[in-house]
Amino acid sequence: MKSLKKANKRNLTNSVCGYKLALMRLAEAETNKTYKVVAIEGGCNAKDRLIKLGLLPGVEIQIKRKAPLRGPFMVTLNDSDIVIGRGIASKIEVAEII
Amino acid sequence: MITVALIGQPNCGKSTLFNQIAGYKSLAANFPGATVTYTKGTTYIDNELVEVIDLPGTYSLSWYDDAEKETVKALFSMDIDVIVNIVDASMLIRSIELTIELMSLEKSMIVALNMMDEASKKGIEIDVKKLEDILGIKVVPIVAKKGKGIKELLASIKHAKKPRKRCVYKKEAEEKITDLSKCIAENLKDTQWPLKLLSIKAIEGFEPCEKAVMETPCAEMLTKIKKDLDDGMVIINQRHALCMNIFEQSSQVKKTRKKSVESYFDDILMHPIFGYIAMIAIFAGIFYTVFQGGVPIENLVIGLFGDVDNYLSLVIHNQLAFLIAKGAVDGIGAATGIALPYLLPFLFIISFLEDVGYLPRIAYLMDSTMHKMGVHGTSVIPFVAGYGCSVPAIMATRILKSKKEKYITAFLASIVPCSARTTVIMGLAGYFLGYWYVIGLYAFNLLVVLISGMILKKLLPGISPEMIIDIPPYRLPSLKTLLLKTWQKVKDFVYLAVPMLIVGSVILTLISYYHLDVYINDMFKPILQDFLGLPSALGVVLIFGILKKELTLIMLYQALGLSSIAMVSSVMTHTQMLIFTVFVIFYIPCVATIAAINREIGIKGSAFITVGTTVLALVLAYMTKIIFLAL
Ligand SMILES: Nc1nc2c(ncn2[C@@H]2O[C@H](COP(=O)(O)OP(=O)(O)OP(=O)(O)O)[C@@H](O)[C@H]2O)c(=O)[nH]1
Ligand SMILES: [Mg+2]
Repeated sequence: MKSLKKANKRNLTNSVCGYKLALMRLAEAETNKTYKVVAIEGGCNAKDRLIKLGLLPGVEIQIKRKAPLRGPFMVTLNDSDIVIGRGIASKIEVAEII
Repeated sequence: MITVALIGQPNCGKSTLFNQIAGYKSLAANFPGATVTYTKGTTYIDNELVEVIDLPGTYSLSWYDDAEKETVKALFSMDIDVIVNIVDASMLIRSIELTIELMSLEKSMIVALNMMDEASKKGIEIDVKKLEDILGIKVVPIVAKKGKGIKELLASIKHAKKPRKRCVYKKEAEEKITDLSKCIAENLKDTQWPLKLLSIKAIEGFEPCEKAVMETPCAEMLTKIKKDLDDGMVIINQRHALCMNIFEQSSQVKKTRKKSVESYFDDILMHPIFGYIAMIAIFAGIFYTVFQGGVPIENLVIGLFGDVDNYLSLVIHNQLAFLIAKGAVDGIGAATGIALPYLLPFLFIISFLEDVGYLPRIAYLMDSTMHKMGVHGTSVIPFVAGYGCSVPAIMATRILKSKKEKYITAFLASIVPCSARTTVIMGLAGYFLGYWYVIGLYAFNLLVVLISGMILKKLLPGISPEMIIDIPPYRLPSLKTLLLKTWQKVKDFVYLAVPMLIVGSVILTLISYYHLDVYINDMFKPILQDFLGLPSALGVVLIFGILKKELTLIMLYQALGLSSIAMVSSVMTHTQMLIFTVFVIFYIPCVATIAAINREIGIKGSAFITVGTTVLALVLAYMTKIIFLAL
């Protein structure tokens, strides 16, 4: 929760620089829109691997497709495709870039 | 002799490069985590013998799964003179993170900039000289798949130097890292980690490093630094920024707005409906092709060897000598005629699937189904490998994160019919009962896998983190790599199974010649004849099958005292064939697999799987008997 508040603050400044505030979880994001990663929740077990794959705060991310039946997401970042489980997606905070 | 280690992130082409310079020994495939153990080979550089080691891919030195741990362990414990860091040029930013970590090991190293062809296809142009200057390491552009630039690479290995020292982080962070390193140097004597790297990893919260430091008097300092540096996020961000910076300085990207081939294929193969239809069609197609191709060859060879047997009986007059010769000939005939026609095409197609990059896409499609079995999509990779051979399938569980996941996947992968069991499914059930029985048996197997998985999920405690997998681009393998890979996979059969088969055939001949079969059959009678309604003579076959599953089908007709497999239908009913096939699909894995399970999940696990699969096979074979006798 603390990280969320912090993130909100950060994002408020962001909105001045052209980002409009629309904070959400990656799990709720739509396909084929560009988002900016704001934070990865601390308790997330997979945080390590995500960071190594280049998914860390500040990076732009797009959801390419969502698997049916609450399946995983395929996302694009830095020009490479990664599949992440939906549970993980719900621990990643993003802001929509408008 | 100097030792060269190939290190790089998963799927960057290490094994491909290794095979190019040290001969085809390591299996390369187009998905991250194809290599899970090290392979050693040798090559010559200027007439000097050099040892080369292929290692599993790792995203960084702080491992996440057991395959990555293998690499870090090897890096710290083996005597490595030169590190060849393979970098995927089409994914430079992410790859340089590992390069920076490797630089801190202060060993001689060079960078092999691989996949130059794909980078330029993506519109990325890299100024190699500039990259070299920024990194302070020799950089050699290569295309491992086509063998381009390998000569230059080998030549520069000899002149590899230690990287020039440099600071990666901003002053404030560097100071803190240095302070911690100093403290650790005084208090922690026995560590394989370079101290600076140990400090960084401890600050970032990598458990083994953090734990090591927390046990020293530096614990308090670490806690404070972690707080100051936002749990290490500060250094992570700085390092990432540095990588971005290196990329921007050394590369130019021409935006190609063209839709990539990947997206077209993915639109179908990963489609929420068509994706599944395509997947089922692909697998049904594979089984159909292998089956349709195998049966005519099986027919042909059976006829051929019948003739040879007749000829032998004319020239060899001693009864025992004839039988032994016939046993040996039948053994070879069965191996080449019955097993290979199914094995070769099947392994070839599986290799193709691995190399085009379809596997991670199945992982995506199947993830939510896999959840029902307590595992994630990534487990698809060991499963599909299991259709080829159970041993690499079991080893592939190293790419899974949690114990529970590994355990369940190992169990399930060992009841996925391997190519040797496929010979029984196709060569016996399919040959006599028809194609639909083949499909039926595979579908039935999947159903059992699913139900067993659901039961195991309930039985085993613990949770597993969800899947994260890198999706590689589609790649077209060359015919040569595919053939070499198929040979690599079938080699074991030729060198191991065929001799065993000949010996086995001769033993069977001797057993029946001296009428020992009566005693042996009596032993198996209660289970096979009374319980399952099968001929007791099959007991010996099943025992040989534990040694090597390929022996099962081939020794079947010999054990029944028949001169050719075509005659099996005269002593076994169709129902009996089906019961036998079901039993063979599920019962005890072969010795090599049991050994692999032992290595990966321990003796308890392998004992459980051995007993569990036997019980499962007995129950399912019995059910088959009840159902089909009632029909
Ligand atoms: N286009 C292209 N493809 C390549 C090149 N080098 C390797 N590949 C392909 O990349 C894929 C991965 O190669 P591997 O050699 O298995 O990669 P690896 O680094 O050993 O992977 P892991 O063992 O999983 O860490 C294979 O499909 C190769 O054919 C290259 O230079 N260009
Ligand atoms: Mg490899």
